[in-house]
Amino acid sequence: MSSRLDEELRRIVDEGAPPLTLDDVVGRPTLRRSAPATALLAAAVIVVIAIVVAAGVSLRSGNDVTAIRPGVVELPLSELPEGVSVRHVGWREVFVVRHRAKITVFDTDVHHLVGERGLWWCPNEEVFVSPTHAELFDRDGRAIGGPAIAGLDRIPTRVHGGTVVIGSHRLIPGPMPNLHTSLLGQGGGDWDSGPGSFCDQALKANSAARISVLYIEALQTLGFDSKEYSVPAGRLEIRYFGAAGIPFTFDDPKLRRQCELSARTTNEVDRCRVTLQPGRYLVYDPIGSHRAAGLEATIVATRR
Amino acid sequence: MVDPSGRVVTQERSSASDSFEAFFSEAEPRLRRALVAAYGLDRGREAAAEALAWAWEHWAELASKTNPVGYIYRIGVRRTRWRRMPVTYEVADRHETWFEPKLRVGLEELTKRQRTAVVLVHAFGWQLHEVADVTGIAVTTVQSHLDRGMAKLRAALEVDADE
Repeated sequence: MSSRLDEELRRIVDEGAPPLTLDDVVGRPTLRRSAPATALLAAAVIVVIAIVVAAGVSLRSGNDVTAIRPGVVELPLSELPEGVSVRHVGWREVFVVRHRAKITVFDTDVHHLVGERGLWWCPNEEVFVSPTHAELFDRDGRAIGGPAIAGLDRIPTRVHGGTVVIGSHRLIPGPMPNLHTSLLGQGGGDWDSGPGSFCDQALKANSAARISVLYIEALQTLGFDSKEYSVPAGRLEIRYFGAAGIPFTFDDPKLRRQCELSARTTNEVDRCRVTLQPGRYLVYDPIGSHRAAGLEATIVATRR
Repeated sequence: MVDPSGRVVTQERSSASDSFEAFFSEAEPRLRRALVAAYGLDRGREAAAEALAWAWEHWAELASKTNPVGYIYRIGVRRTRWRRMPVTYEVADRHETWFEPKLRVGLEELTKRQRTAVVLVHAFGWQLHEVADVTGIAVTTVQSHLDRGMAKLRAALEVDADE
């Protein structure tokens, strides 16, 4: 091809897609793929945040961290205590979780009602809880109770040598609850965090929603869909479905009386409610040799 | 490592930041041109921005890779998959007349790999092995895409091989 055509080709690329700068990419917002409308809204919010941060506006005092460029902050790792602490990055209040040199930064959106952002860290129980509607999240930000529809959003962070760099105006969406354990809406509960815990008071005062749901599927191949299910200890609703004619119950006699289920179809759910203390519970199909053939599993209840 | 005066920490911070900036200056044009060649002006530039944003966030991990540009090229490709933007080379707000008006359309009609080879080798003077390194395609395959792409482009422009 002639050098003139080569030159024209070069100009099409370089004029049509001009060079990117560091500010174009650092702290760049990432849109949620499954929800374009939400993504546009988030992008608009991020632009506003970027403008506010760029203008050096800080609405909070205390553990504020200064932005080194719009939306990006650095702080020495040595300043962060082991465990969970609160920081203000620009105007945003965040929870910083440190485990040795690993740093995770959580936003305080509890994924329930718009604008509901209050979040506490309960050191005894090792959970995050929202005092308004008692949304519960574990130390890794996963939703484990209450009406939250997703886990806590993370803020991208990297640690280099002795420095923590936080890109404060981009969010990594929190994980959705998995298939096996989702959460019911309002309900009673007996979650007790021990004397002197403000978390306990908040939960009781707000009638926390604390019934977990466990889905178990009976398979045609004479097995359950998993050999082990993990659930938070406390009230649990089991929803059982799948291959017709395969019953399900607990090995524990007391729990067996409360929960004997039978699968009918993949669309029809049989259900029961039990209360589990932390521990391991064997469940199985009581028909003849079905248990020996593989229709046996363990439910592991862990402290919330 | 920790100096009570903070001097060492400051140096570390600045060297981490400097090394990413040096990488950015070197990688940005190569990455952007390769992705624009493959996916068009808008989508390619977006993919390059996504890839470099990932690079910033994972710099400690990326810095140890033997071929960091090739690595984040694949990140850019993955992150642009869900976008349904057309591959286009229409340069907006340009008042000058193009020397060869059919060139843009001819480019759009090439396959992604043919276009990548033609643009990077002819417009930007890359060696075949450089294209192979970034895109993860074998050198012989790049050569073959280049030959087919050039033949198709010449046919579209109605020019001979020696023009």
